[in-house]
Amino acid sequence: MIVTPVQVRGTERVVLGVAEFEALFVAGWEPVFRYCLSLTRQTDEAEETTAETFRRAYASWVEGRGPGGQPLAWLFLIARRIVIDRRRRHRLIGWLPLGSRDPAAEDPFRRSELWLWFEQLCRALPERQREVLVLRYHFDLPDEEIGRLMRLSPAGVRTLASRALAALRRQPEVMD
Amino acid sequence: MDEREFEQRVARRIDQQSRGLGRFAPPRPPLGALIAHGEAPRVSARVRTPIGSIGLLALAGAIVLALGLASVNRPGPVATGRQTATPSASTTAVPSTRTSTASAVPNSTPVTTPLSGFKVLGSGSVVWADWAPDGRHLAIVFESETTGAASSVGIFDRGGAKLTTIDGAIFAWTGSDTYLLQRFDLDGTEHDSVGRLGSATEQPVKTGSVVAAPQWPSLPCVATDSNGAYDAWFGGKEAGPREGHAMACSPDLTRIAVIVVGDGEGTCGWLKVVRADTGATVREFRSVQLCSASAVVFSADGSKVLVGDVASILDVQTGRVVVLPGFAPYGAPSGIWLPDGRVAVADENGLVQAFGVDGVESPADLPQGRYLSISSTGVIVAIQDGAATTIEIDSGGVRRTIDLAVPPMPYPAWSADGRALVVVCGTETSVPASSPFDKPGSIYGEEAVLIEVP
Repeated sequence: MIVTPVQVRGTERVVLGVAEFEALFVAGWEPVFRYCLSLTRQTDEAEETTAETFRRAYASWVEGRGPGGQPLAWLFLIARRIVIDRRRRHRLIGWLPLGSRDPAAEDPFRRSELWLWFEQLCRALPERQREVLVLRYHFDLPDEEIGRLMRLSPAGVRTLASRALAALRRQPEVMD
Repeated sequence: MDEREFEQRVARRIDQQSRGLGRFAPPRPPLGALIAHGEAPRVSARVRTPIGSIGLLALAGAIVLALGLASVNRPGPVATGRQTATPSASTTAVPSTRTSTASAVPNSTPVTTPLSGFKVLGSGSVVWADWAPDGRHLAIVFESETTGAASSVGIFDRGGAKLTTIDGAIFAWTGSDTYLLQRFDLDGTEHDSVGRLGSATEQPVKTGSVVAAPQWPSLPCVATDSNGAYDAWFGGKEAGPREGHAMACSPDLTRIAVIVVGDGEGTCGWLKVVRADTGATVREFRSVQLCSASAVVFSADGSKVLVGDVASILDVQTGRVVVLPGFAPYGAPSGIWLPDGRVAVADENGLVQAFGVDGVESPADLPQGRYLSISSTGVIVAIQDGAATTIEIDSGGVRRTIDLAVPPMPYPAWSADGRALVVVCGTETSVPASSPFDKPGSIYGEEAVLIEVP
């Protein structure tokens, strides 16, 4: 069932219809997937997280809790929470597929050159530094949005980015 | 190359490579289909992993049903049948095509009275709840709704009054007032510590990736980790890690049922019973392939193990396997041992039947629901999920029901004396009948219902 949502911004009630959400869905599907894949480095996981992101986003949307700022950053925030949730839960649950074959080994991403590059980047930079670089240089999010997303001050974002750049300067082969 | 040039080079490279991630993007599903599913539909063709995360640990803003129990003597509505929750889009339960040949005993269906009187304990996304071993304290883990913020553990007394809050993501009782706590950094780095209620200090411990398994209340002595290993805990001391997924401890805590991962294609795993103290194998059941495992329950004397998913009773003494008739593969999400030595098994539609250890079905008046639980005093609870929750409680033949407008989680937690029960329910999603234990671990409930059983 799809309903017409109403969002309250201040005292203004803004009707956010299905068409608006659908437009966000169409435009945001691949960027959200790319962001999720950069975090999870597993296409299955990224796909599930992306779908779950839009499901939750829609649920929020219809409850009048749509994006306060950039819609993409809002989607990223939801996606990021899901990724962190899943990591925690996987640890909590301690329960992975019983089959000994690693499902991730079948992942086409794992067999790509891109994977090798991301692996190299992972060895060079901690996760948060990688994430800052991707959000900043690929998604062009301003530091304020990145900070909101990662719960950092804009200055903290800049510090993280500058540390990442310094680390990469020491390992220039990653950028080759 | 100056700093500005280098930054631009990094920016170009990051952008170029990140764009490349898009070629792995699956086709965008229709929005309507995605929304219509309680769980996100998968678009790409992927072989489903045999056991996904058993992420049914929802809980949240806790509602306490405190002592508002209807008197059993008070006239109440007579149950003419179990109130069936309306299936939601994600709950694909359909009327059972199976028929119970002996369990249904209409003429002796007990009078059922409703319970009411809820009290909200707190708010937030609840991950899990469990009682301290002595039943005097209740821990409820609340997931932070803010990215990166710490989760917290609310400690409540028996009556549901909140005593304190502890920051931490994973909590396990190690004694009546002692606990193991795990916290995570944003990047997933974990920090383990042990503490005591009332003490302001905690002692960091290096337990590696050991994680308590609070989602299984039947695991008082076992902690398991995400790499298929587990530790046994005795009096706060750790023995392990050992290989396998620990599933249950025998009532006397001398044996542990462990699922060992298979090593070939098509092989999932099998159940092994080991001595808790040494890890030595008591019995292996390699012929019983387990690609999923939810209900693994020892009999009272520890001599048999009921495995719900494959609807089988495994005899640890003889190695005999009795397969209960009429269940589809993995179509029995839960089961319990009844006080009289029989087993009760629920199918995925919530039909509960009783069987002897010989696998023969036998009559029984049992509460109906997909998730079964039994207290140390023999109080049976069956929880039926759907768009709503129906909880049936059977205490010595006295039947009570609770109807909640929220779906349940399948892990009710009993206090040690069997007089109090916490059931976690959630509104975010319901549990799909087809794969009850294969949900992402990001589901939360929003109600924790504390039930005092008179």
